[in-house]
Amino acid sequence: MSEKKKPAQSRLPLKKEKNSFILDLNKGLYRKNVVDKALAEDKDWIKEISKSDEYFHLRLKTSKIEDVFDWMNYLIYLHKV
Amino acid sequence: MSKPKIKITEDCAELRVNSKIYSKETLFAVGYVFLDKAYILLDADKSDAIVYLYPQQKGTDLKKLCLEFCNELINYSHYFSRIQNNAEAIKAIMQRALFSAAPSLIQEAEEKEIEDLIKELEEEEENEREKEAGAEPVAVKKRKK
Repeated sequence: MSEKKKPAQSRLPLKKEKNSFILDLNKGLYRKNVVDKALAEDKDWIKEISKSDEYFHLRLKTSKIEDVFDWMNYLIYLHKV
Repeated sequence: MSKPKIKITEDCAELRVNSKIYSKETLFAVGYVFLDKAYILLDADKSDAIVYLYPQQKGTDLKKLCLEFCNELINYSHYFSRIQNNAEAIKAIMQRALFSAAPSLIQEAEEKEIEDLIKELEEEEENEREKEAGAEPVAVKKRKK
């Protein structure tokens, strides 16, 4: 009997950790100068944790997801302005 | 079979968009419009861009939100393609408006155009001279025969 293949699960770019969130921003979509500018503004609670060709891997030190959401939208705003 | 384009989960909606059809500028433009309705996170997977929409209000219909996002994508991609197609016309209208506001600009533009024409003519003349110089030995040989 053939086994049914499960559809491939997409990897969520936002993960919850203890007292922080990990956010992966795709480098093909998010511009480096914009991300760097936003990081410089919020360097006290957001840090780039590792480097890769495809993503900016960021740790946002907050336990409130609303802070992360607001920062995500701020990035969209910066890209449009 | 292709993956479903809209996936609704417990706390967010996932919308897959073909990035060959919609540019990232279009995605950000639409994201900007949705800033007060949803929290937006973008990602990419092969030829698709993935838009994650987290609603700002409880009880938001996520599917409806995705469909509204799709409509806005069409709206903005049409807007951008129209701008691209009409770029020359827009440029001409802007130039006319500028010239009518500051007539001295017309003189400057005309002078620049004349300079360019003179340069072009000089280059052509030089090219012809070079060609003639290159053809001379052949002509001399023919005369000798």
